[in-house]
Amino acid sequence: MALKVSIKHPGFGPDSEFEVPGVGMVKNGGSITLNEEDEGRFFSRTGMKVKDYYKDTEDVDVSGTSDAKLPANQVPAPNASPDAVDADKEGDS
Amino acid sequence: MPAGIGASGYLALTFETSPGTYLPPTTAGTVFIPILSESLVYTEDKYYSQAIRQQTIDNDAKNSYYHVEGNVTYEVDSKFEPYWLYISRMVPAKTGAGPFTYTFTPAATGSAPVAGDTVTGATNRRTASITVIRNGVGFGYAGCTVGNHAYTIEDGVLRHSMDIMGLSEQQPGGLGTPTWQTPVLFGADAHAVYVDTAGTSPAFATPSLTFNGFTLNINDNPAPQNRITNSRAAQYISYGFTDLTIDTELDFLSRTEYDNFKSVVKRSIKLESVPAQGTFAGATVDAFQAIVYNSVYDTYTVGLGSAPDLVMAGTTMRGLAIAGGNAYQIAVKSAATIT
Repeated sequence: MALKVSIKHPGFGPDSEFEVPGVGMVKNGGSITLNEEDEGRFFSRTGMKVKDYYKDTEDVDVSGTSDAKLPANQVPAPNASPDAVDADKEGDS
Repeated sequence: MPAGIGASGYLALTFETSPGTYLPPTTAGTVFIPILSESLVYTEDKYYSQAIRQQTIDNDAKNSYYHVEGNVTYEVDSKFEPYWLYISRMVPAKTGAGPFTYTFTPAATGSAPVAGDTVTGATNRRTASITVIRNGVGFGYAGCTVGNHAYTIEDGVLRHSMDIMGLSEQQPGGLGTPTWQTPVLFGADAHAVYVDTAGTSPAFATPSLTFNGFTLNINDNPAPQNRITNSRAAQYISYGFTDLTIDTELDFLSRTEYDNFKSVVKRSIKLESVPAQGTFAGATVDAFQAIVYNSVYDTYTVGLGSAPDLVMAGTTMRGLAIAGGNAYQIAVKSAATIT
């Protein structure tokens, strides 16, 4: 099982591509799958697990079960700087 | 919390479903708009008591009425431009099957939408909750409207500077989590300015080659309206008379335009901004167009500033109403799907 990050923004069409910070580029209505390594990299950038980081928005959904063995959130500042997008990571659909 | 810099902040805009009722950036459909600067502030004239009681300093302070005001400047991006124009004193229209063409023409209404007004659908004006995150701290502004627009070509790039007024401020419950889209800016090869005889459908056959700078200013002269209620927040934002001007500098090549200034000749002006030298008509998305259908030179000054300077004319054109049409129109071809 892995994490699936989906974006569905009602204000833009399906051709619009979003940078989901720390995750990758995802077309509106599409999703991206994160493996254990991706999750670890996200955690090292933000100090938070992906699900927790994106729990505060209705347009981004994180589903599935995490494979990564990560410590508890380091909880830096609220809305820690998302850091750069992973340029190598492209959406699944 | 450590010190922060502006770059780590962000601005979120959420259309309100009831004008003046704040919606946080956790709301579905919130757009995170890249900006160059913002200066939204809680604005209040506090009451300072100068009751006479043998002291030569204010005795007390009480809260008074307040509103929100300030400026937001951003690089025009067709994905976001309709959002700003929907919260303006303009009549919106939407055509196409996506990407859409949004057109905005002047509205004669005396205020921004108020509680009870319909603010859904593609043809209704809106108000917005604007949330600004500064060093991780959220500021939520409700009932926001753009009362003054300035479109300027600066360093070749089209910018939109907006004076915004809002009803109230609150602390957002959630700050949202931004997602970003690839910017599409209108650079130096995107712009063309056209001048034609005033009319409701000018041909605009040939672009002008003499404009050195372009600032279109549409000022609806907004003002906060506070009333005696049990709330200190503004009750609505009123609009006044519209002042429309275009400021530019023109190469001074002949007396023609100077004579036009003196004899109040009426002209229409169009700015088109489409990447890669495209045309608005030919573009399907990412295109901006502003047309002033009727204008006259309000000022036209030409002089010999100094020996090495080019002889240029500084001008301000003033927009007028036109019979059977709109004074101006702003159109955007955009990937935004505002419903």
